[in-house]
Amino acid sequence: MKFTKAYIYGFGKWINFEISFSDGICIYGENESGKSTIYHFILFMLFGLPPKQREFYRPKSGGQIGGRLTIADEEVGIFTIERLDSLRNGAASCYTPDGMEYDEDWLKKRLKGTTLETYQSIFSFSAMDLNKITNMKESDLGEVLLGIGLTGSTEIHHLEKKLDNKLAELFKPYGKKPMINRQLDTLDKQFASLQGYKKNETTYREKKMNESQLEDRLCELKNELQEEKIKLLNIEKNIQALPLIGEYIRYQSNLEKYGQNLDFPEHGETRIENIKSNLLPLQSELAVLKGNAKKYQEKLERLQNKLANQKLYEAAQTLVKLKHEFLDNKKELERTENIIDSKKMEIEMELNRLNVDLHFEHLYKMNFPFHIEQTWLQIKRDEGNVALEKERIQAEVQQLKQERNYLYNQLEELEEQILPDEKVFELNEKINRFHKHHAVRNLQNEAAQKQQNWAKRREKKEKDMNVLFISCLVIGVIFSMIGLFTDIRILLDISFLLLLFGVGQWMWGRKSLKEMEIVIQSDFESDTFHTLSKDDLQDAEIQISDHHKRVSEMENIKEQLKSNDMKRLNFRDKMKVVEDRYANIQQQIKEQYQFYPFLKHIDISYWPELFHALKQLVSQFKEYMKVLEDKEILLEKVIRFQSEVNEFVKEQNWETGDLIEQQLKAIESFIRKQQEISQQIEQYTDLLKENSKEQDELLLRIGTYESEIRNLLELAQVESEESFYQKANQVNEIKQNEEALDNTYAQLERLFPNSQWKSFVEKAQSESELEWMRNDTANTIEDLQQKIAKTQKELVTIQAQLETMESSEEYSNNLHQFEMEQEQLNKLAREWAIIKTAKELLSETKRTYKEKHLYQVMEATSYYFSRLTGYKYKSVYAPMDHRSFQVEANNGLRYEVNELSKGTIDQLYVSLRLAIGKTMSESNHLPFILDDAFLHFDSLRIKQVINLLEEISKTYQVILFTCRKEITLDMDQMETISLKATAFK
Amino acid sequence: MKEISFIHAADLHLDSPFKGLAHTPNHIFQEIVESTFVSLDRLVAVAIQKEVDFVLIVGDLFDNEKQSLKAQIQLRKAFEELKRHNIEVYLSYGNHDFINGNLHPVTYPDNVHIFENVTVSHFTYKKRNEALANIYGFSYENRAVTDEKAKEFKVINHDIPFHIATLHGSIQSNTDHDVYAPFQLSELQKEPFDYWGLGHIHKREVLKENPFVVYPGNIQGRNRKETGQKGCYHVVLSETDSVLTFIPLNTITFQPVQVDLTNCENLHQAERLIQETINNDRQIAGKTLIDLSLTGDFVLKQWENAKQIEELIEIINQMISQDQQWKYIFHFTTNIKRKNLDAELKKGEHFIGEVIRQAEKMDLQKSIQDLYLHKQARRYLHSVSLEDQQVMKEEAKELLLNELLKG
Repeated sequence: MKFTKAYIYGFGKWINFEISFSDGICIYGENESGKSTIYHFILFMLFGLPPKQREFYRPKSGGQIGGRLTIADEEVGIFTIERLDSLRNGAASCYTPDGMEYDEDWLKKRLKGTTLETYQSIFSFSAMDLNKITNMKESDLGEVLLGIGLTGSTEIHHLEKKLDNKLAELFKPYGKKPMINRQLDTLDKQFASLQGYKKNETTYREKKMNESQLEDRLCELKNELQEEKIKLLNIEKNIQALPLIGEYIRYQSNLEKYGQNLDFPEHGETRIENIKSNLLPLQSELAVLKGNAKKYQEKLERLQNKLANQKLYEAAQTLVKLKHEFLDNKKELERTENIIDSKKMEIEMELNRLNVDLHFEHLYKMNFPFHIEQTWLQIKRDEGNVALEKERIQAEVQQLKQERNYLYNQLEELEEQILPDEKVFELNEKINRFHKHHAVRNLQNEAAQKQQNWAKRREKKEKDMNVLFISCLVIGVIFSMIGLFTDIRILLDISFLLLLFGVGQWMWGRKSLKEMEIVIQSDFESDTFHTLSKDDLQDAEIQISDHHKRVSEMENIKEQLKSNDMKRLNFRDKMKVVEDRYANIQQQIKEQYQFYPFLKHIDISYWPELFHALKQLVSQFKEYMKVLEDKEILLEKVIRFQSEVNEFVKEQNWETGDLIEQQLKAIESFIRKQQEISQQIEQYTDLLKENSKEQDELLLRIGTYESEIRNLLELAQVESEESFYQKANQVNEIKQNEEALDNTYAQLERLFPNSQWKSFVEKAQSESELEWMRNDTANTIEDLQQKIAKTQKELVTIQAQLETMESSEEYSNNLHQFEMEQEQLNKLAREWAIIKTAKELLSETKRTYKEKHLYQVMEATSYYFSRLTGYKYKSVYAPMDHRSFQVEANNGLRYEVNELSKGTIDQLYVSLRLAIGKTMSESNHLPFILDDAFLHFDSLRIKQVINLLEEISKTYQVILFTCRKEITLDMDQMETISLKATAFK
Repeated sequence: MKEISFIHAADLHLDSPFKGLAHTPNHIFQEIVESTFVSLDRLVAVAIQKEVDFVLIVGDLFDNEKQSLKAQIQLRKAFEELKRHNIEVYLSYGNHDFINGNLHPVTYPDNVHIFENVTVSHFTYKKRNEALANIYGFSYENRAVTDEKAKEFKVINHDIPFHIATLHGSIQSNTDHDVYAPFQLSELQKEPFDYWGLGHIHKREVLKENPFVVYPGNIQGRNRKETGQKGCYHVVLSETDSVLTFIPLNTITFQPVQVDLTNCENLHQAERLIQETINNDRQIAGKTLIDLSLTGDFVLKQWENAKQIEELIEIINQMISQDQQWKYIFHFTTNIKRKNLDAELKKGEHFIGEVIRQAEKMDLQKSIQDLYLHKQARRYLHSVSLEDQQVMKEEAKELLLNELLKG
């Protein structure tokens, strides 16, 4: 943007003045030549002026204020601004060559928001501005420089201070005096008191509860008092009514005794009496009948007792029936017994006749099988045979034995004889002796024979002796027996003689036998050792010659011995056989003995005869046994019957004696009696039947009356007549009691209406108890009254407090007051907040602005400063923190601003302003206007500035106002306009 | 013909302090303090005078947060007065006087029927032993009820001629206020209620007719937004007709007044103009708290910055606040008519442009935290809404520009 020309209608001293501007122009004029007016005119054209300021520029000669300024703009081309003081209050009109007209706003758009202030601060400066710097404290210089640089004035700084002051007036975080702080204190106080009031009010709830509790309590107490009073009254009344109540209780307890079951028929007593008068005769009649019946019954019972039971009776009858049979049996028995006796006699006689060791008792066991006869016969024969055989063998053996003994003797003799030759003589003698011996032996044999014969004889003799002895004995015994039985003395004597004879002959025989034996044996012994005769010696030679013969004889004898031994063995065997047979037979005999011991006394040879005798005996015995059996049966029958009868009688305990006939008689009489009793029973039974019939009739009649009575009892709900009468009495008593009770009731009811007295009755207290209770209640009443008074007092206090609280508006007032003070605070706070925000905004903007432009500005400043100082300095550094501007000299030394000379500071300032202008103009090409900015510069520096400005003017329009001639002289490229100070005068 | 009449009021906010009132002369302050109670007394007087059957009070009778015993006692006295005239009271508690936050539970007389809990219940109004109306409602037990309570209202016993629902809450779409017990208008028509007595919104409004769905507003304005007449509705329901009459109860009116000072060259002119405007405003009748809004050019701004406007208002107040029917400018705002150059200025590379650009980016919270987070001060300061922040930022910017440009 460039100003091309200006036309002033009237502005200050200029009227109808026109001026043209080239790109770089220096307007020279002395003081008071109107340079500044032109400057202000331009500003007026661009930005307008308030009326007052406009008025300042009203030309003294009159005429209107206003003018035109033509501008060449890069965007819209050439246009002209026109302002007239009289027109639209000095608002601008803009005209474009195409004839369009625009208003102030359009202009502002063209100026891109540049205001007067910004324009002045950026694009125009004067010596005055430089002077301001000197006013500043040196230390502030850097800040001031920047501030001027950014806003074009020191306004920002002022503003900041102003804002700070305002803020401080309003609020300091730790202050006391600022308005907000004071307001806060006020609020704190109010808040505290408000809290106090609030707290106080919150006790309202508590107090209210307390009040209601107290009220409740009071109400309770009053109720209690009322109750106690009633109680006292009641107690007093109770005491008064005590006698009556006593009565009442008595009657009531009486009544209670009777209980609930009090149903009773109307006129029950008389009714029952009537019935009973009718009933009594009937009952007595019945009693008579019953008495009879009883008697009959008793009789009957007695009879029936007498009447044995049917079984007994039948048993008796059976016994009687059996009586005849019994008598028959008895007779038969007697007969049988006779038979038995005779039979027994016969048998015994037979036994006696046999006279074997067999008695009647043995016969019971006696038994003869069919073969026994044959057996016995056989035994008899065998025994005989064996005995014979045995004897024969024994004889043979005896003979052999003797032979042998002889042979041995011979042998021994021979052996002795054949002794050594020296003793041949002796042998010879022996031979002789032998001959003698031989004769002796013969004698001996003879003696032996004699002995044998003797033995046989002795045996025979012994046997005969024995037989005689036994026979004497038996006969003696028999005779003595008979004698004993028959008392015949002679028989006894005979038997004694017989015995004596038997024993005497036996003893004699024995003695003679022994004497004979001794004779025989002594004969033999006297002959055995017979000394040799003299012949032996003669025979010695013969015997020596016979020596060999003897040896051969020895041989011969040995031979004979052998055969003897053989024979003996043979016989021994035979003997053994015979002995076996004998033993066999003996065995058989023994067996027979066993079965029939009596045989022992009987020689076997008589056995067959015995058998026949015994057989007959046995058959007789059998008959006897048979009869015996019959007798036993009969006897059993008789005894059975007797025992039956006896038992029967014993059972009945009849004193009849043991005789059966008596017993039977007793039984028969018993049967008869029984029959009589039966008849009587029948008779009484009939009587009883009749009696009961009569009774039934009577009972029927009685029954109707009794049912009548029962009905009455039922109605009375009693069991018996007795209780009926009792009940009747009770009913009467109850009636009386009830009347008395009603009476008392009425009296009590008069004293205590609505049955109040009933509670007294229930409690039933004594007078002293009641008296005590009265005192107690009186005390309680006093207590309660005290409590009530106390509670009422408390209640009144709390109610007063509540009243005060309710009527108090302190909290409410304070609340409102507080609210207002708070509002006031908020209002102040808001004010503060706005100012604070403005201040913050300003600072923030400053900071941002600095940051944004500082580099460019400092670059340009360095350049311009370097140029202006003739390259003495090479660069400028922006202030940092508390440090102000620094400049760097060519030699590399750095200087603080306050270290520089006044002139250099001015140079720095100009450089800074130009730099800022240049920087700002890059987007906003407004011309520079400098109003005598270099007043204090020396010529050299002016030259330098001029050079610089000329250089700048190639890019931006530069308008320089000056009053110094030398400046114009320095101009090479810039146009110079001289204003004549006198031109207007 | 069966007929019932009643008073429908809500949001009494008894004894709750006025907002935005910094300084008032003592006598005005006293009247402000008493204003809600006077309004309540008027309500009672109206009920008695109109011989209504009952009074409905739909929530927010007082503020738990600033609850005074006085409020409770006055309330009880009012109810007692109504009882003397056989007028029943049906009341529910709202988000400000929710049951669990009640500091001073005062026992009300037995003509007062309170919806005791958050479940919708009902009372039957009987006149001469004849059941005439069922009144339905619920109370806030805690600070907030976010359920759609309107859906829970069901008419019980259709034999009873009138069914009146009371609901303390707001329309779902209304986001200017805290949304409690939200409902939609269409929901209120689902059940055959004869009247929907609403509460919570302080601005009076008849949302719908036939049946009436009504916000009676509060009975006394308490801040500069609650302007004009405040009161209750007198409702007469008959079998054929419903008549709704608004009865003002407020003792003090909040009234906005606009004055254009553009043409005033000096403060005297301004003062005269303001005085005239106030005196000639027909809406200003009775005791009025005026919210003055001034319009002017940079001159006004200068006056304002110099606190000359405040002084001016003080002078005016001194004059107008002495009458019996006093008026009092309690708040003013200035509205400077300035060509909006910001857009242009913003483009400049210069400092002003930078100021405008920075102002847009600026974090206001941070800059004001010295005070707003100050230990002592923070508990008394209202939080600054985003909107406020914007305004304050704007004002701060204006201040700077004014200062920077005036040179």
